[in-house]
Amino acid sequence: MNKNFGEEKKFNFGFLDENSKREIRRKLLKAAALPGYQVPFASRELPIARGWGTGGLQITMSIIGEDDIIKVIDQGSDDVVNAVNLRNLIARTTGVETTLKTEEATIIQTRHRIPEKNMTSDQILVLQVPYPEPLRRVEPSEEISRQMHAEKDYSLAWLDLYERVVKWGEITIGSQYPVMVNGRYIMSPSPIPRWDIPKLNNADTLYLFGAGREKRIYAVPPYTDVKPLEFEDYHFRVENFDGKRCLFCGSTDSYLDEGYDSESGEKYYVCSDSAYCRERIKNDEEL
Amino acid sequence: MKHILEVNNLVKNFELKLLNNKIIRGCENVNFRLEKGDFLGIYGPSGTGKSTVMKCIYRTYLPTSGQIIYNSDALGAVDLAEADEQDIIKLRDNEIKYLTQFLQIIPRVSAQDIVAEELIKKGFNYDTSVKRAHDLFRRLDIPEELWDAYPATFSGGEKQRINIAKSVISKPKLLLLDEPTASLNKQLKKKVLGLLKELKQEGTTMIGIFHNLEFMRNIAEHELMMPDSIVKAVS
Amino acid sequence: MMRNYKNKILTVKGLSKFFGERCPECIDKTGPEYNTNQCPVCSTIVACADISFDVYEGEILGIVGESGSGKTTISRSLYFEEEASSGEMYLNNYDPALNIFELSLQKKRTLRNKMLGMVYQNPHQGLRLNFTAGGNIAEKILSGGHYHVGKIREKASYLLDRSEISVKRMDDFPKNFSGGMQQRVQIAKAIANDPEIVFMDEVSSGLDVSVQARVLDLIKQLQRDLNMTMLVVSHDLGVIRLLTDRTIVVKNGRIVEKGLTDQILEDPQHEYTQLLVNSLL
Repeated sequence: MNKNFGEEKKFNFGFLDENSKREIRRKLLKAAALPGYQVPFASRELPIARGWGTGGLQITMSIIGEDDIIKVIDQGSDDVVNAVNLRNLIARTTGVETTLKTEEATIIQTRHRIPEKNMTSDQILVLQVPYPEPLRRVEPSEEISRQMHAEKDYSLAWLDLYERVVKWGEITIGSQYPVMVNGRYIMSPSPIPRWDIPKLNNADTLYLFGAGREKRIYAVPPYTDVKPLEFEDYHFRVENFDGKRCLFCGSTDSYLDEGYDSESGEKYYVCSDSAYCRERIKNDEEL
Repeated sequence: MKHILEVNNLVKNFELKLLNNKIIRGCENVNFRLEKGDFLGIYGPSGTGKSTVMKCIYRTYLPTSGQIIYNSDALGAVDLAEADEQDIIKLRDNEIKYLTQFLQIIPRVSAQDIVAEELIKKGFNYDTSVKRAHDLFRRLDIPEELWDAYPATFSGGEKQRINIAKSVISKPKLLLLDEPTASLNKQLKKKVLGLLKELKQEGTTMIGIFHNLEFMRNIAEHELMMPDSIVKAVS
Repeated sequence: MMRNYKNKILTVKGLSKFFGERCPECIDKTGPEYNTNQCPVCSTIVACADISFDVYEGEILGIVGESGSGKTTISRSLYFEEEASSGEMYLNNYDPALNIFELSLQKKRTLRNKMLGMVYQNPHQGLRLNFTAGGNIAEKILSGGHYHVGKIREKASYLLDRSEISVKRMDDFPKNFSGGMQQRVQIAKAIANDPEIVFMDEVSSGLDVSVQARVLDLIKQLQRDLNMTMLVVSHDLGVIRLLTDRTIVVKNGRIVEKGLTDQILEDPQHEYTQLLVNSLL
C-alpha cells in the first residue's frame, strides 16, 4: 500500500462516497444474479470525462480494498496513456499496490481485451463498455429493445446475422459480437476481439462490465454458459493469424496487433497483450 | 333407412326485422321422400318458394320448422335442418352440390381450374382432374380457347355450362339444380339433359327447378308443385 | 390433404376488452341494443365483451363488422398485441386445458412465434422494410428457433414462389415492391412457421381491386393446398363471401350472429345483419 496515501487524504478511499459504492455494489450483486442482464445504475461524476472508462472505473472503485493489487490495460497494453492515467488515479485515491503482471493482480481493469493468460477464481476482470445494448445495432428504440430482452424475443438480432451471411457469405461482425449468456440474455461482450470471446465461457473468473455514460452494469459469473450466436451451417470463428508471429516474442497463439514500418514499407505483428509478450521474452532469456 | 332424403313438414318463413318484423312466407307443408337415383322436379310460378325449398336443404336458409333427413356417406343419417355447421361444410365439400343460376367467379381462376378444383378437393391429382374437366367441356361444347381463360367475361350461357361442369364432375350424392338449362339453346339443353341422365343412372339423387314442365318431365319421375307443395309421381 | 372438419384449432371464451375504470353497469348498458360502446355511467369504452367462438381445422372464419364493432380488437387480443381484460383462449393442439391469456409475456411471445401468424392491413406493420424479402420470412423462421441458413433460404424460396413472387427478388427490399406484392410477402411470412392459425386483419383493404383479387386468390389456394386455418377480419362483405366458410357478425363489441357464410348473407336473422346485407351496393 502506498504510504503517501494517508498524507494526501483529501477524498474518500476509492474517490466515490460510501453511498455511491453501496449502490454500485448492490447493482453488481443483482447483475451477477442475472447473468447477461443489464442493470441500470446511478452513474457518478468522476475526474474523467464520459467515454473514457468511467463505468469500469466506478466498478473498480466500488469493489477495491486495501489489500487488492490493481492492473490496468488498454487494448492489452499497460503503457498507453489511458491505462497509465487510470492506474495512477486508482493508486492515488486508494493507495493500493499496482502491477504490470497479469498473475499478480487481484483486479484487472481493461478496455477492449481480455488477457491471454488464463485468469483464476481469485481474480476479477472489470471491462469498460461503450455501448452495452447488443440490440442497438438493429433496434434503435430503448423501449423496444428492453421488451425484446424481457420477452426473450431475439429474432431481430438473428435476422441481422442472417442478412450478413446472405450478403457476405459469413457473419461479418468484428467486435461486440453478440453472445447468449446462460441461455437467457443476449449480451454485448464489449469491443473485445472475437479472439477473446471463448474466454468468457465457463470461466474460473468473475467478469464485470461497466458502461458509465449509458449507466448500465452487467456481469458474467464464473462457470456460466456464454455462447456466441452462430448458425448450424455458419459458425462463429476467431480471427485468423495463420502465418503470422509476434515480432518481439515470436508467439503464434496470441492476438496480434498489426503495425506498419514506414521506412521499410513492411507490415509487422506484435502481441496485443504486452504483459504476455514481456513474460515470453523473459522466459526465453532465462533458458 | 333406404331413403336418401326425407323432408317432413318443412316450413320456411322470413322475418324482416327492418320492416317491423313483417313475415314473408317462403314455403310450407313440404313433404317428400327420395330414393337413390330419384329425380324430383320442382315447378311453379315465380316467387312460390321453389328456390326456398332447395336452399333449406343446402342450409343456405335456416328452416323455420320441419326435418330434412339426409342419409349421408360420411355421417349416416343427418337432419340437415339442425346439423352442426361443421357437418354441413363437410357434406357440401364431399356429397351435396348446389348448382345455382350464377357462377361464383373466383378472380383469376381459369375455367378449367374452377371445375378441376372439385376433384382436387376430393384427393385427385391436378392432371387427372383437369383432364376430366376437359372431357366435360367437350360434351358441353365449350370451345377449347376458353378452357384456361377467366370466366368473368364469358357469356351467360358459357358461364352456365362451366357451372354445370363444376357441379357434376365430382358425381355428388345429392345434387340440387336451380334452373340448370335456363340460358341454353335447345341443342345444349339436350346435351345437359343427357349428362344428368347419366348421373342419375350412376346413382346421383337430384332435385331440380325447371320453368318448362314438359322439359322437366324428360327426367323427373317425381314432381313438387309450388306453392301448394303437392307432390306426385309423373306417369 | 385430409381435413378433419371437427377438430377445433382455436377456442375463445368470454373475451372482453375495456378501456377505462369500469363499473358494474358497463356491460349491461352497452352493446347493439344501446347502439354504443361507451358506458353512460363511467364512460368506459367496451371495445368487445363476451366474445366466444371456435375455429375449426382447415376453415376460414370471418369476422365482419363496421368501425367500433370490436372486430380488430378481437384479432389483436388473440395475437397478443393488446392484453385482453378478461376471457380465455385455448390452442387445442398445444394444450386444450391451458388458458393462454394467463401465460407470462415471454411464453406468449414464444407461442406466438411458433404457432400463430398475422397479416396486417398495412404491410409496414407486418414487414421490416429495411430487410430483404427473404430476410423477412427468415425472421419468422428464426423466431421459431430454427438456425440453419441453408434450410431457411430453401423454405423462404419455396414460400415466395407459392406467393407468386419471383425467387430472384428474395434478396430485394420490400420497400421497393408494389402494395400487392408487399401483402403477398406478408402472407408468405405469416405462414413460414406452419402456424396453427393465421389471423388476417383487413388484408385486402387499401389495395386496388385487381390487386385485391390476386391476394384473395392466394389466400384461398393456401387454405386448400396447406389445409391452413384462418381468421379473417373484414368490413367488406365481398371479401367475406369470397373467402370464408363461416362468419361472425359483430356490432358495438358484441357478437350478434354466427353462421355459415352463405346463410348469413342470404338468410340473415339478426336485425343488424339484415341491415348490413341490405346495404351491399
